[in-house]
Formats: sequence, structure tokens, C-alpha cells
Amino acid sequence: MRDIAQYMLDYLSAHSDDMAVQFILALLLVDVAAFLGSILMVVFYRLRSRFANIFETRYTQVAQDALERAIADDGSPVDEAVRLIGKMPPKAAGALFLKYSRLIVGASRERLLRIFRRTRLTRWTRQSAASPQWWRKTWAIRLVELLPEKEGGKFIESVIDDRNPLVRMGAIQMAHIFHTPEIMRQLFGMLAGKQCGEVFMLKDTLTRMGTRISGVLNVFLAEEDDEAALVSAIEIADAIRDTSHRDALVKILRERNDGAQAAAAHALASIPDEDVSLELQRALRAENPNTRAMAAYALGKTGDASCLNPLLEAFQDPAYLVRYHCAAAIRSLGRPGMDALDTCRHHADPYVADMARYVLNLPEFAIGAAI
Amino acid sequence: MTSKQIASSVILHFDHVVFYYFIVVNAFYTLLLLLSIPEMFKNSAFMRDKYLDSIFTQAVPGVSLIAPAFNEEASVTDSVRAMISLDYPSLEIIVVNDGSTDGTLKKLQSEFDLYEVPPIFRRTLKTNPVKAIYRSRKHSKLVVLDKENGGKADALNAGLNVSKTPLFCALDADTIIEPDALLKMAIFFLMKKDVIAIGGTIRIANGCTVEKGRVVNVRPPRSYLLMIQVVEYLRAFMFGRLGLNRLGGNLVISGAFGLFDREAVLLAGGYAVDTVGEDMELVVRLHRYMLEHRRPYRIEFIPDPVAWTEAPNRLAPLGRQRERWHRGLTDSLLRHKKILLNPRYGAIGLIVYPYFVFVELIVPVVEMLGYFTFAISLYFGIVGWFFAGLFFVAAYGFGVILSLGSVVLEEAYFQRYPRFIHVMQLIGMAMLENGGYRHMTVYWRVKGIYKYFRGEKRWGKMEHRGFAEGGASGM
Repeated sequence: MRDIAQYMLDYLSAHSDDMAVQFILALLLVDVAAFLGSILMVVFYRLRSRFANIFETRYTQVAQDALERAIADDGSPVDEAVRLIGKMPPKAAGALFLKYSRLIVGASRERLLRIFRRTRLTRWTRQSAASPQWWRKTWAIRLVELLPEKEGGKFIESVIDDRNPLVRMGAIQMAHIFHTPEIMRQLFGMLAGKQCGEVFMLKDTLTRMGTRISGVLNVFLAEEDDEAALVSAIEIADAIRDTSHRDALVKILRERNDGAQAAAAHALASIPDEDVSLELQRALRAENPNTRAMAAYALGKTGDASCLNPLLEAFQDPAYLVRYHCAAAIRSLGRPGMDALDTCRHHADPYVADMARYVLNLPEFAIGAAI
Repeated sequence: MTSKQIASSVILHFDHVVFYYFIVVNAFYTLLLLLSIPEMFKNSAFMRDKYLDSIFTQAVPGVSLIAPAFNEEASVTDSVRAMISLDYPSLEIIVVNDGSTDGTLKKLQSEFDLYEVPPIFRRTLKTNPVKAIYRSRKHSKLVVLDKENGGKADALNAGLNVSKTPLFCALDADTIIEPDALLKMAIFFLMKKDVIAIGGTIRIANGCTVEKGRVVNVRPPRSYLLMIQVVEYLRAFMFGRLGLNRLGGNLVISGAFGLFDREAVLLAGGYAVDTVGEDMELVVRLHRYMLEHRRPYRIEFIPDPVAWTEAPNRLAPLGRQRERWHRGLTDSLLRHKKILLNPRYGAIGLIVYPYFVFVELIVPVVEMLGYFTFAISLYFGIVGWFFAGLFFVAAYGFGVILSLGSVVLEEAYFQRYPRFIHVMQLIGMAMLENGGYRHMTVYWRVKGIYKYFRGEKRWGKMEHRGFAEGGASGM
């Protein structure tokens, strides 16, 4: 053993100015240091999370129990919950609020809000709203219900077009709580030129605002030129189903020849009347095949048996999608439609016959649904 | 100069080349490890914020899960049930029966009460004929495509044609996605502009407890071969791909788990059907398409969304898998060789692509030749035994450090393995990985290159034992 060690020392002293040997020795030193460092770090992280878990679990559990008693409104003191939540770190208290605000509705939710508004979490939310740090702002957005309505609305207005996407989209998502005219105006203004994800959020928020946006939406439908933004607005109108949008939608159906026209035909299915039915029958001859298909779909939804003949005519349309929607619409017109489709099974045009067979075999719930 | 002297000189020079190559490669690995730390830190705000979804859940874009199935009668219903149980608000599940000769379709029909719908879809990508499309009476989000056999890529393309959502995720039958993984990935599409693909981490499920299509108890497998693969996966995902984010983007998003912008993939031409590495080839093609058409885009890897996969637990299937991976890598890199060192492709052409060619692709060849010439050098006394030993220990130690680095990152940010003893086992495996296992992978990868040049295009037989319900699988 001693000989080996001696040999190694001799070798190293003889090659001490050899670059390769120096490099390898340095690498060995790095290896040993990094190895020990890694082990220490693993132990450190493990111990840290263990202690944090013990602290958080015990502390949060006590506050949570008090909160549940207070929400139950069985005469338990609310002050105890307020005191315990007030002692929690703000983010943990915020997480507790979010956890319960998802689960609870109605009167209990009001009690939940009242309890949390009395804690120092409200002050922290206000401070976070004023903070320049984006992550503090995202917390303020999530806890915005703890702020008074006017203050919350002003905060959402101020961040709804924030540079940080997380803040901006969080604000869009929570905007439905406030629906001030300024917020609505901002949301519609953002419909054009945004990427897919944000448009989803905008549509979702505006839809949740319901008929409150009808006035602004009608103006937007009448004035907007951008096709993508207009389609989004029509989809919102489609989801809200307010008859006040009828004229604007009919105008789009008559005057345009693009995706907006097809979307308008689809949206009119949810607000049917005699005039709309005539407009849709006219749209069965539109240039755009998607418009023809959506018009057939909408006529099916109206359930108006007088549409049978126009639909049977359109059933021989060259576009497969139009034929499908015509067949589905004919079937949804009840017995006369079913009989007509049954006859079509022996139609001279094999495409028509095939489609009739397909649609007659579909289960009832699938008629007019996505395929 | 005698021929012996010439041979000695050549071998000595080659030893020098290997030595310098070793330095450069490991310097690059170190750089990736260091770069992955700020990248992990950057993502940690999202990863640790359990309530981030409260401001996003309502409005995430729709996602199609496309799952090709070929003769998977035994596992297809469990896989579909696991997909249906995922927490995602707007999900469409497309199972593509790729001409199975067993009862895969019948099993699906009886289990999910399927009915046929008219085959209305735009045939944007050319595929083998679709025979029928079915929907389920039980689960409105399930669509089953029955088509003629054309391979995995062809099946994925057929699924893409039928899909109607803006995003899609191609899934392997032996992959379990964590319930919130899709949401975490979709949030990135909302948050960052021009994202067209996101890859997540794949972990090994062997050894874990799986219940109702979910991994409920995480623990490393008991077998040496599987445990070493756990460390290997950690290293590949924790710092390899994360570090590449900082250097200009990833060339690989695993075929088992990635979320893509459907429109971008359709524009790029869908999956290539004539390669065994269709996942990597698609990502490289996406880079190329976007750069050539001067479109802004991002292809990123994020470490937190996790999918679990079944790893081979025997040497033969593991060898076939690695060989196939390397054939796929070789094919993808050679198909798009135009990108290499081409300034037109920016950081991808000048940094990432050369890294994949000069490190990932040829490292096993250089390593194997290095072992060979090093042995000759030792035999003929061209290199001293002590120097060789010193070099071996230092190189081995450095390999261990890189693996340990990924275990440390795992501990610092995730702690998926709840028991300390499991982490110590991983550390042990990180030390053993360089003693034999690595050399086997070198052999399989070289074999992969050899088979590629011989023109082999087959996938090779893979074994799927399946995830045993309520117990550990593939031990």
C-alpha cells in the first residue's frame, strides 16, 4: 500500500507541470467538492421541507377548523377564526381563502367573505394591488373580492391591459365580478388583435357578464370590421341568447360573406322567429358553404316544419358539411322530416342516400351536436 | 519512422482528440446544468403556486389527446378511462385504431357504447383511409377513429385531421398524465406569446402505485436497471432540456408527452411517416418552418407538468428502445442537415443543432473509439497506467456529479419521492450509472447509427406490462 502511495506521489511530483495531469487533478477536486455539496444540499432541502410541512400543517389546520366553525354559523365565535387567520402568513391565508371560496356558495360564501375581510389579508391585498411586483399583483387579483367593490373595480381597470400576461389575463378572468362600463369597453377593445388564449378568456369573461353587456355588444356588432373580432363577438352573443342582438346578427348574415356570416347564422339558432327563419332560408343559398351549413343547422334548431322543403332542396348541396347539417335539421323537424329522410335513403344521388342513412342511424341526442 | 512509431503517433493523437473532446463535451454539460438553475428558478413561481389555476381554469383553450392504438386490446380501455379522468375543462380524446388485428375496436365499442357518425373532417394531412368515425354515448368527449394501418405517425396525422381544438397532445398508450399536467402546459400557451409547442417531464412509473389511471404513491423501482433509468430520465429532463431553453430552444419534445399548436403542426406538414423518430423530426421541422417563414415562435420545455411512463425492465427491450431512439435522432438530424451551422437559423443553427450533432449524435461513437484506442495505448505503454486511472476516476466522478446535480434540482424544486431513503437510493444509482450501464447505452446507440445507415426502419418489438392497479408494476 505504501509503495503504491509512494509511486503516486512520485508520479505526481514528476508530472507536476504537465497540463493534462493538472487538469485532471483539478477536476478530481471539483468532483469531490461537488459531491459533498450535493449531498449537503439534498439533506438541507429535505430537512427544510420537513419542518415547513410540520409547521404549515399544524398551524393551518387550527385556523381551518376555526374557519369551518365560523362559516357554519352555528353560533361559534367568528373572532377566533379572524384572529387565527390574521396570524397566518398572507400567502397561506390567501390560499385558505381560495380553497374555501371555490367550495362554498350562497350565504356561507357571504359569511366567508365577511370573515376574511376582517383579517389583515384585506390590507395585504390592497398593498399587493399597489405593488410593482407582478406576483403580488396576481395575488391581489385572486383576492380582489376582499376589497370594496369600487376599489376592486378600479384595480381591475388599472391592470386589465397590463404588460405582464399573467396579470393581464388574471384581471380579464376576474373582470366579470365588476362589469363597470369602462371594464366592458376595455374588454371589447381587446377582442381584436389578441392571440388565441386571450380571446378565449375575453369571450369567457364577457359571456359571464350576460345581458349586462348587450348594449355595448350591439354597438360592437354594428361597427366592428375585423373578421376575427366580430366572430368572437357573435359567439358571445350566441352564448348570451339575448333577442336584442337579432337585428345586428341578421344584418351581418345579409351583408357579409365570411366567417362572421356563418357565425351569425349559427347564433340566430338561439333566437328564432319567423323573420329569422326566412333570413336563414335565404342563407341556404349563400356563397359561403359554412354559412349554408350553419343556416341549415339553425333551421333545424327552430323546429319550424315549414322549412322542410328548402332544407330538402339544400340537401343536394355539393358540400358534405352542408348535406350533413341539412339531413340533421330535417330529422329534427319530427315525423315529416323522418319520413322525408327515409325516402332519401333511396335517392338516386348516392351521397344523399348515404347521408340520409347515416343521420337516421344517429342517436337522438347526437342530432345537431358536434361530429 | 517505423510503422510501429507511426501507429503509436496516430493512437496518441487520437487519445488527445478524445481527451479534448471529453473536455468540450463536459464543459457543455456543465453549462447546461448551470443554465438549468435560473430556468428552474424562473418557473418555480408557477410550479409552487398551487392556486394559479384559479385565474386560468375557466378559459383555457381546448386540447385534443390523440392516442394511436395498434393491437392494444388488453390495455386500451384503461388508457382511455385514465384520459377521461383528467382535470381539464375542454378536452377531446381521439383514439385512433390503426388497423388493429385484435379486438381493440370491439373492446372500445362495447366499453364506451360507440355510435358511428358521418366522417366529416378536412383531410389536410394525407393518411391511409379512415374507415369510420365513432362517438361515445357514455362520454361525449371521446372520438374513435378506425383506419387502415399506417404506423404511429400516420395514425397521429389522422387524429390531427379530425381534431377540432387549437391544441393537441400526442400520447403513448403506456403514458399516464398527472391530472393537472395539461392545465399547467396550457397556461404557458396563454401566458407567452407565439408558443407553438411545450414539452413536459417524463418520469418512470415502474415501482409507483397506480390507481384508476393515476400515480398515487411515488417510489423508485427495486430493480437496478429501472432505478438507473430513473436517474437517467431525471438528468435528461432536469438539466438537459431545461438548459437548452436558455440556449435557443429544444429540438426534442418527447413523443410520449408534449402539447402542440395544431395549426402550426398542420402548416409544417404533420408527422413524418417514414421515420422512427417522428417526435423529434416534427420539432426540428417546426423550428425550420418557422425560421424559414420568419414567423415568431417559441418551443419550450417546462419541468413541472409530469407524465409517467413504463420503462423496459429487461436489457433486450431497453437496448431496442435506445437503438431506436438513436436511429430516430440520426434520421432527424441528417434530414435537416441544412440547419447545421447555418446563421439563417439563428441560435438553433449555431448552438442547439451543432450540440445535437457533435454531442448527442456522435458522442457514443467517439466514446467507443476512445475506449478502444485507450486500451491499445495502455497495452503498448503509450499512456501510463497511473494517468489512465486518474483520468478514469476524474471522468467517472464528473459523470456522477452531473447526475447528482439533477437529483439536487429534483429535491430543491419537486421532492416527488416522499421518503428520504428513496432519494439516497437515487444518489446511489447516480454513482453506479457510470459503472457499466452507461457503456451499454454507448453500445446500443452506436448500433442504432449502424442500423440507420443499413436502412432499417422498423420500430422493433416493445414490451408493455401495463400499470398494475393498486400495486407496483414492472418491478
